Amino acid sequence: MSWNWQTVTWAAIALLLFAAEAMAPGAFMLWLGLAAAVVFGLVLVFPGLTVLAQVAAFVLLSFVSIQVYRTWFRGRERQSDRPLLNRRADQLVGRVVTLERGIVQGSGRVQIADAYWDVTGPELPAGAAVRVIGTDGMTLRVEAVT
Amino acid sequence: MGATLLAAVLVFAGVVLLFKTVRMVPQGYQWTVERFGRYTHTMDPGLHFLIPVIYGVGRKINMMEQVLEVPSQDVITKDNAVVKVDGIVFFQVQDAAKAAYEVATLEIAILNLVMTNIRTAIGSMDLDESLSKRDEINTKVLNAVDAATHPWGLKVNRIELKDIQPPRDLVDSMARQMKAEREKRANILEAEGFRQAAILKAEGEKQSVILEAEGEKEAAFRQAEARERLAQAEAKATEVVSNAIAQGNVQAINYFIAQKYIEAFKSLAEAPNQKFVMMPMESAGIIGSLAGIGELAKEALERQPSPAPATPPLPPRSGG
Repeated sequence: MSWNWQTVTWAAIALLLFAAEAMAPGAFMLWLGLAAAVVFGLVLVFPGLTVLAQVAAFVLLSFVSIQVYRTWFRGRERQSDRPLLNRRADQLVGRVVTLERGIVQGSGRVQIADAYWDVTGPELPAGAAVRVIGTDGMTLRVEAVT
Repeated sequence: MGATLLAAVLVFAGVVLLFKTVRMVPQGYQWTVERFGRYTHTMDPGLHFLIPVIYGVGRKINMMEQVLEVPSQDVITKDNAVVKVDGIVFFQVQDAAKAAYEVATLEIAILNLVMTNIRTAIGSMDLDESLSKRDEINTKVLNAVDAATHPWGLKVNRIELKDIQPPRDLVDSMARQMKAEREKRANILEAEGFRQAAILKAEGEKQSVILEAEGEKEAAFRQAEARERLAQAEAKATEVVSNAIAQGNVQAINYFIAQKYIEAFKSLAEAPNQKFVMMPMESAGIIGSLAGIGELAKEALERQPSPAPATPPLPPRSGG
């Protein structure tokens, strides 16, 4: 164990990068920080490494850390409890509304809140109740409510 | 020295590449991804890793509902009034790729569409209509703009006209018109009130006269009835008396009359201020009644001899 300038420097860099990530979350400081931490470990174990080798290891390891995260940790992320945020059309699935314009040739129109949406579905007269069952881009797919 | 420089360059290149690799899309946005400048896919909010150099971020599209102010513009109505109209548009991008590449300057495009459609809608109405039928205008413009912006992956949720301002002099004359209208209404109402009042008064008078007449009629009826009853009673009394006379003796009547007569005289005499004494209209009455008493006496004397009955005193003579 030798506490020389190199080890101290890598430790400091790692901590500073973690702090930077905490201050301004941009996600990419984190990988650099992890890489610096690993290099700090390497320098502790192999004190004879040149600075160039250390830096190369640092750069390489930062990409490796991304790959490790993508491979092992990606599936364990906590999912959003509001997956439909900013997806207005998808939020309307399941709603029952009345046709403002009957479905002719497979297309009609409904009013939901203030907005008018085009719908596709079976031929139905205006005023019929329909349920939104899915979205097609900006068109809602509907079925007759029985 | 060379190694240090190389190390510095390596760090710099590494950091830049890493920065290009790790992309974090904030919630409320979607970023389009281009492969050598050609659109490939869209990144949802969250952490993404792109192969640097080959893939790059194209456009950062705001997926939240946005508000655009429609600047004030002069619009000519059907009846040639120039009004200032401004408004507000709420829209939301539904399809980030379309919004990114189908239209060059999204907001300018939307604003111009809205402005021209407002002109069209108001141009087909006269001033009064355009002031009172804002909902209709809003709906018209919304439908037109919504349909037109579909190819750009937009949903226009609302369009509201904020302010429709006719020119100053028109506003003044509208105010005058309204004032005149109200004054007219007030005058009419007042006249109506007077008329109603007069009618009610006349009605009341009529009613009171009718009631009075009815009262009199009723009273007359009642009085007639009373007189009738009185006459009946008198007739009955007369009948009873005459029956009594028929069955009994005329002298009994005479006795009664005489008694009453004497009582009357007694009360006359006792009156506290007797300046004069009323005498019966025909003195013969007294004489008659005396004669009646005489008859009584005579008969009595004939039946049983006895001292002469005391004659009733002559009515006292007045002192004056």
